[in-house]
Amino acid sequence: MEVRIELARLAYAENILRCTNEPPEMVEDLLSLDGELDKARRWFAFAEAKRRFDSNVVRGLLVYLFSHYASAEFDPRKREQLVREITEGRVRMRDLTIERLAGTRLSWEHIFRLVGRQFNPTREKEKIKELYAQLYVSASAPAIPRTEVHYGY
Amino acid sequence: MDTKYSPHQLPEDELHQEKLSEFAELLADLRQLEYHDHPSEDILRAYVANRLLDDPQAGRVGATFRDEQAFEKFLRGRIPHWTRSDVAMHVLTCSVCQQYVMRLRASRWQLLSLARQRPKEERNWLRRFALGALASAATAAIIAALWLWPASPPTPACWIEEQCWQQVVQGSPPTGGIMVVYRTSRGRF
Repeated sequence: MEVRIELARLAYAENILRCTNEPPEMVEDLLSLDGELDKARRWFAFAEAKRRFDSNVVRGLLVYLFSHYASAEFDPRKREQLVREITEGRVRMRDLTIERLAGTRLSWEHIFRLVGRQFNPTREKEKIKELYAQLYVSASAPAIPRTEVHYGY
Repeated sequence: MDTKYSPHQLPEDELHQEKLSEFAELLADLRQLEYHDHPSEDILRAYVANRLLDDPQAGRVGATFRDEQAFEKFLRGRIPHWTRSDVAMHVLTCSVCQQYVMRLRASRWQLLSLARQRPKEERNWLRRFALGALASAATAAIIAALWLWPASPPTPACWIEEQCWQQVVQGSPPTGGIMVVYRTSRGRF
């Protein structure tokens, strides 16, 4: 069951990428059934960052993350196909899945092209870490004010 | 898509050094699972072709988290109605379906590559066909003209019924002149 919960957390992460995610407080209980609340909250930090900051930049970070760490094996053919589709502008972020990105090892240049603009990945990463600390580390109580969350895409 | 960016604006070293390794452990526990149920071939084809959507009843929210029942089905791996997210998670952790999806992607890639080349070939083929048809039509017109020219007298042959002919001959002055008879329809002058 723990493995399935892990998979559910990844499904949630994929939903963040595709902008189909539930607000974090709606799924917090479900995604921490195995006791791994911290893992769930890290994904929630991405979801909240997407709402507060530039959503496409946060999604770009997720694309890089899935592309590099969702599979231990590098798949050059899969990468070639995806890179060509990105270069030709035939792929949108909402069409991507973790499975499709796994093993492709996209470079930041590819991510920038996908996002449509350049950004500083280190700075954006730090912003998400700060947000996580702000939401979950400094305050032990449920940190996301439920009344503020609005996902009206 | 807006592609106005320049990869040279950021320091290359900084770009290549940033690996987001702090978040890598979020995906570290991902491993292959044993499944009793697998998505059908049609569903996998739709997934590869990017035609498999999320549950329309779920709106813009992922169907997996729509309610507790849907979530429980997802956890049990028994999915009556496969959504894109369900299939993605399944393929990610099912070696059997991974192989199949890999083959589907390869064949789809070949088809797309062929489709990219075909328009040029089709245009050339159409041009060749049009020129050939034009040349054939011109040749046929010339042959028809040559064929019909000697067979077409300047005036059509006059066919006069015997009775009318006698009337003409009898009614004409016997001066030995040449009489030319034209007719417009059978049996009439």
